[in-house]
Formats: sequence, structure tokens, C-alpha cells
Amino acid sequence: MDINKVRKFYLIVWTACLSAFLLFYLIARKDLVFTNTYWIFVSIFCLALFAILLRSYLKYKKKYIDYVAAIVYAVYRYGFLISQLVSRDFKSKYKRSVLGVLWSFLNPLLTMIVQFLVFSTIFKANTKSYPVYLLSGVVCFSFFKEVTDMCLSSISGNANLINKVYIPKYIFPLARTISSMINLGLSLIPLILVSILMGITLHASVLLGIYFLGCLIVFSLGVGMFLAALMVFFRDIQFLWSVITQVWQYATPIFYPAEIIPAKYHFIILFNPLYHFIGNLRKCLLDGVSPEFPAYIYCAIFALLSLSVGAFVFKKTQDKFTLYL
Amino acid sequence: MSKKVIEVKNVTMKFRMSEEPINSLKEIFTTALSGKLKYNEFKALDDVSFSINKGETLGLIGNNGAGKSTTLKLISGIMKPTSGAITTKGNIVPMLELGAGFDLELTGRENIYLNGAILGYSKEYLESKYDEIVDFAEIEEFIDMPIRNYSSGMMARLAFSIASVVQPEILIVDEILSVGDAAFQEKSLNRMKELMNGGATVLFVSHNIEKIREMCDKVVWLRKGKIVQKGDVGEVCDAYLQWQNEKKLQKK
Repeated sequence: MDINKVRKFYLIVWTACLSAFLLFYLIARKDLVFTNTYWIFVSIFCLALFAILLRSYLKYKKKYIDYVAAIVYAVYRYGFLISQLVSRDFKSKYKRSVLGVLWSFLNPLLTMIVQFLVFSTIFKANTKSYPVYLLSGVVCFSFFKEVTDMCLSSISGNANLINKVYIPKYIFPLARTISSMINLGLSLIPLILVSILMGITLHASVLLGIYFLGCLIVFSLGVGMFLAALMVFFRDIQFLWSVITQVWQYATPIFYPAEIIPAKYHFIILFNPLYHFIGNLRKCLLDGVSPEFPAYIYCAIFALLSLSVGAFVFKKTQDKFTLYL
Repeated sequence: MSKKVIEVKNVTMKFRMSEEPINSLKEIFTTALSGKLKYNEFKALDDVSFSINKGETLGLIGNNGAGKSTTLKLISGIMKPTSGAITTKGNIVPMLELGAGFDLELTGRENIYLNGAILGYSKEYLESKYDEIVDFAEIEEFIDMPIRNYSSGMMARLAFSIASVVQPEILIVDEILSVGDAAFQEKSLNRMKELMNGGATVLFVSHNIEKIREMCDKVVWLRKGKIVQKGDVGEVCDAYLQWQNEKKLQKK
């Protein structure tokens, strides 16, 4: 592998780390978003990440490749393939449709309007800026649904490729997740626009919402990899999953406020990762403050747990995929 | 001493085939509960060993179901063997099926990049070879058209051009020399010979014994997953043809 290119990769990640650190530092100083000394934890986190990368880079220079370097290598080696698969997803999705990529904006907006018309009279009174509340939930949940649905068929749908050419199999769910991430990015634009229209002042805390979106992405990828592996062996999963997502959608406070759930059932939503991701994102966006510190830990645990279970199951079963496809 | 580029050592590949394919949760529950989960073990390859030296062309022959395609899939890394080991040195270009991953909605140009990425080419490489691919496929005027409008011959020509544009160290070919019309077939055959003469190590599967004789240095004859004979082209091919004739006579 070309050492100059590797250096470039490390450099990009380092800069990202450092700028995140600086950003949080500035926010903490200026806006008093972090009411306590939370920014210290964030800074420690960023610096730790930086140190891990530095260590891996130094090891790499001594020809020793650790986990981090392996990830960098995968990005370098398969980056072009992933970008091609993502652009294929995008192009073939919107080809032959008149509005094309505009649908990425319109879809969440239209869903929001429909739900708004249906539910606004019931829930409007006790939720402030209901359209934004609703839209943020819709955007997050439809991202989750899209990723898991797309990952579900990512292995079985590419059977002809997997049987003919050697490609690391994790590429397929990953590429699908990345194309959904682009969609998510696009649907954030109407969310921000509606927030401004509704007269919400955007605090610096909105930037913290990126953290919770990141957790949502990692969580969805984990679930997606798990489903992709399962789908190869049991085709029933696709039908089962559409029922599960529907139940999940109603069990998550998307169009209703969390407070209407009776106290004795409240524990259910505490174990619902999506409730945490969406709830904290709303706090950042609507209330203009950072959530309590434990919220960051909870979300990270949910996301990493899901990814490690998903990746573990995927890795354990991937050699058998070709036998069942 | 020449270097071994591909080494296949005591490779066994077993497929577990349930008597009826179990594909759903309900079925797996009911069969597991009733204890009827039966598998037929099927050995696609049984203790197969051979090796190919650098620059050599090895032919694989055998009837249908002998395990030729399984061998190719194992060597290209698509499957992993049940037991045994396979070592390969160098980049492999498997021409098992041309145009894997072609997307009918995309244009020829977009498919060149997509298919090239799938075959493991880098972006810079594809950009530098782009004109060569288009020229060779002879589809210049259709390149910006979605390939669902292509004829099957055009698609095959494009696929062959993308697959054969590299100078691979190991080339794996599964009977694909019959692509397109007669003129293109000759052109593609020449390209294959060029690649072979360029120092590539080639693994070649064909039912056409004449072509095997013409192109290969060594031959492995497989039958029902086992090696019947391996070695010199002339000897093995003669033995194979003789065996086939005997079988024909027996049938009569």
C-alpha cells in the first residue's frame, strides 16, 4: 500500500478529531451549552481518539498493522468500490422518476404533513412546535427503517455477485447504509428549514445533535448487518421484520409525546434505543441545551452493542453465505 | 526451480444438502422438533491436490459435476474449503461470469466504473484504461446509453473488455471464449493468448479438448470430485478421450 496515501488518510482523521475538539471547546466556552463540566469529558474523548490513531500510525510505520490500521486499509482498498455501489444505489433509485433526488426532501416532508394533519388536534396542545417535534422523529425513524430494510436484502439481493466475484461481504450492508446516510443528510435540510420557519432559534447545541445522529447510524448499521446475515438462512425474516418495524414505530414517541405513556409502562421506552436517540436529538434542537451527561453514555452503549452483535453474527456466518444463496 | 503460484493441498469441499431445502423459520422449527433434520452430505471435491508454477497454463477437464467450477470458486476466494488449504500469490482476475454486477439502468460508462470497481481495479487505473476498454468493445456510440438497451452481444463484449483489460498475475477462465460474433471471438481469443504470453499464470476450464491441447501446459482431470489423472497435456487428454469413448460404447 502506498504510504503517502495512508498518511493522507490519517491526516484527515486527525484533523477531524482536532477540529471536533476545538469546536466543543469553543461551544462550551461561548454558549454555555454544557451546563456543567461536560465539555471536559468530550475533550478527553477526542484526545483519546487522537492518541489511539497516533499509536496505530506509529505502529504502521514499523510495519505492524493493528485494528485501526486495518480499517484505514479497508477504506483505502475498497473506498472506490463503496463509492461506486453507493452511486449505483442512488442513480438506479431515482432513474426514470421525474423529480429524482427531490424525493429525498419531499418524502419526510409529506409523511410529516400527513401525520401532522391526523395527529395535530390530539397532541398539539401539550407539545411545543409540534411540526418540528414530528419531523425530527419522522426523519430519524424513516432513516432507521430504510437502512434496516436495505441491509436486510443486501446479501441475498446481491447473490449473483457474491457467487461470482470475491468481495468482502460487509461491503454490501455498509454501502447501503452509506447511501441511506446521504438521504438522511438531504432530509435534514427540510428539518432545519421547518425549524427556522417555526421560529425556533438554532443554538450551538444543534451541533451536538450530530452525535446522536451518529449513534443512530451506528445502531442501524448493527441491526442491518444482523438482519442481512439472518436473511440468508431464513427468508421469513423479511416479512417478520416489516411487522416488527411497525410495532417499533408505534412504541417510539414519534408523533406522540413520551409523557402520555402510563408510568408503569415507561420502562419499555427506556429500553428503546430509538427513543433515546430521537429524544436527545429533539432536546438539542428544540430546547437548545445539551442532554444530561449519562444520555451520551447510554446512546454510545446502545450503538456499540448493536454494532458488535451485528458484526459478530455477520462475521461468524459469512463463510456459509455462498452455500445458501 | 520455478515458483508455485497456486497451491491446492488436500482440499475437500462438502456441501450439506438437506433433502428439502429449508428456508423458513417455520420449517426449521417443525423439522428440528420432529428430529427429521436430515442432511445429505455431498462431496464436491475430495482430497484434491495440485499446484501451478509461475507462467504455466493449467487446464481442468472433466464431465459436468466433476467439481471444476467449485475448484475455480475456491481458488478465487469466493468459497472456503471444508478442509485443506489453498495458497495463491498475486492478484487474481476471475473470469467466471462476465459482467457480474452490471446494472441495467446505468449507462455503459457508469457500468465500466462499477464493474471495474467490483473486479478490484482502482479509479486511476480505470480512468487510464477507459478508452482502451471502449475501443475494444466497439460500442463507442452507445456508451452513454443505459445498457438495458444493449443487445446481449454488446453487453458481453463490454464485459469481456473490462475483465481482460488488466495484466493479471493469475487468470481464472471458465469457458467464456465464445463471446459475440465470429470476428469478436477471434479478437478475444487473441487477447487471451496475449494475456497468457504476458507471464500470467492461467487456470483454464473447458470442455473443448482441442483448445486445451492448444493452450495448456498441464492438465488435471477431475471426476466426481477426485483427481483421476494429472500431468502432461497429451497423455491426460488421450486418456480422457479414451474413457469418454468407452463410456459411449458401454451405453450402446
